[in-house]
Amino acid sequence: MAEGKSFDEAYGSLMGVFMVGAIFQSMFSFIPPRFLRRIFPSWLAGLGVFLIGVSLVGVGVQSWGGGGDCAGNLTAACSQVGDSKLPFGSPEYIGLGFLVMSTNVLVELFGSPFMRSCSVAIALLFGYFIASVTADRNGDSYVELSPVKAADPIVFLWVKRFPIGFYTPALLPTRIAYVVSTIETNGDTTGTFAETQLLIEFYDKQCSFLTQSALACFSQPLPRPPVTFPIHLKPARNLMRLFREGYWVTLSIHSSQLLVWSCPALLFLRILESFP
Amino acid sequence: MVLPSTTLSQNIGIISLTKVASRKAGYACAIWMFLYGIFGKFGAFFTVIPQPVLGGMSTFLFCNIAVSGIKVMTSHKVNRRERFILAISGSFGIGTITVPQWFNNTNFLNCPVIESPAARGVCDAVVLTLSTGYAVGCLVALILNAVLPAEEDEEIPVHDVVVDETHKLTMDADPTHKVSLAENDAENEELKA
Repeated sequence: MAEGKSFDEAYGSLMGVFMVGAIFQSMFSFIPPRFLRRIFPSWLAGLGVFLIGVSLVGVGVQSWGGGGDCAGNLTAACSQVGDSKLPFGSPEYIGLGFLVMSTNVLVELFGSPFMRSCSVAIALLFGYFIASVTADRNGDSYVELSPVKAADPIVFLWVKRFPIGFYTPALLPTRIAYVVSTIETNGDTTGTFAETQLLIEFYDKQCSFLTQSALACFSQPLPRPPVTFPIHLKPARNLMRLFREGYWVTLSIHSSQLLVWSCPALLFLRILESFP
Repeated sequence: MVLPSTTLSQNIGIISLTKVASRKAGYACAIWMFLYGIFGKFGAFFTVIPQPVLGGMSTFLFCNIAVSGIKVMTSHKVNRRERFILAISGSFGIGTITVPQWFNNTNFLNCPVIESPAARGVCDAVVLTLSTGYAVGCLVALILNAVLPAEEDEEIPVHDVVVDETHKLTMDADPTHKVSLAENDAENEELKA
């Protein structure tokens, strides 16, 4: 936008850069499992998961204190806590976060097994409820209702067409971001494996297939709504089925990727032509 | 604004807490998210959750991810070479996370004064990578893992393994574990002899 582009054009250029950058990430998914395993051993992927977790704890604590926007400036008012305009780290904010966390502990202590499974949702909704019926020391509510009132009852997001362009300076940062995203995807896949009671030894045999699939899946060059992690993981008795499915998932994703790639590949050729 | 998607790390924490990783649950979530997307009021209801409430929960979920990472790292016996790589890459990764201004300062690389947009982009990219803890940590680990020669499996003497196991068992149950250790040593010496 700084270079006289409208928002739509700027967004279109960004999409173009992502289309080209995604080709790079998709290449990782073609590395044979044997090599993928050698490049990313499970302990290395574990380090990735650990570091992602540690860095995210910082983000979590920032929003606990009132939001990332006021964390760097202790005199500014936080803007993401509804009408409440207290500075970062006000006792009210710390207390709200602590209420959620202690609700979580209480559910774990006294809840039934089913309640314990939903402890995250219960604690969050209880904290939200208390926050919506109370107010801070100035009498301002923590929950601002105007966005809810202003929201359209029914919205469709997929009716806009952006002019696809290309913004060269963003190419290298995007490429690095895709390497980072590849590492993160690998770490997340491993983490999901570890948390679903599948043996880590199994990671070395099978996870690389699914990591491949996940890389292919999440590196889709075309922007689309956020996706949560869909890999299904059942107990060990389904290993053989998973093994066979793993093959097919990988193969089918690769073939669909080839189709999807043709679009950015053409764009890439056009860009190469445009160089003097 | 919808940018290309990537995996969502929080979900690992959720899986470990709820013990639900079924694909069917994923489909059910997808239906709900689809509805939230279409019915604007639902979506807005969740966007106005106060940050401290969200933070109280997400801090816990994020820390769960770190715990998963430790679990994966230590799921098998870490040998000397792996330990070395983990320590070197961890010092970059954790160092950058705890002191973010380490690389992200204008004394180290002064990107804003660079005039050429391409060079500026390269500079920004380098700073972005160096100031992202898990990126720099994993890159160092990847490089070291590729460069350092593989270590031959250490021949672990039977003696050490036996003592180690006895130690673990007797630490909890038997307060006189020192005695049993000594006994074991004596036994092993006998075996060796």
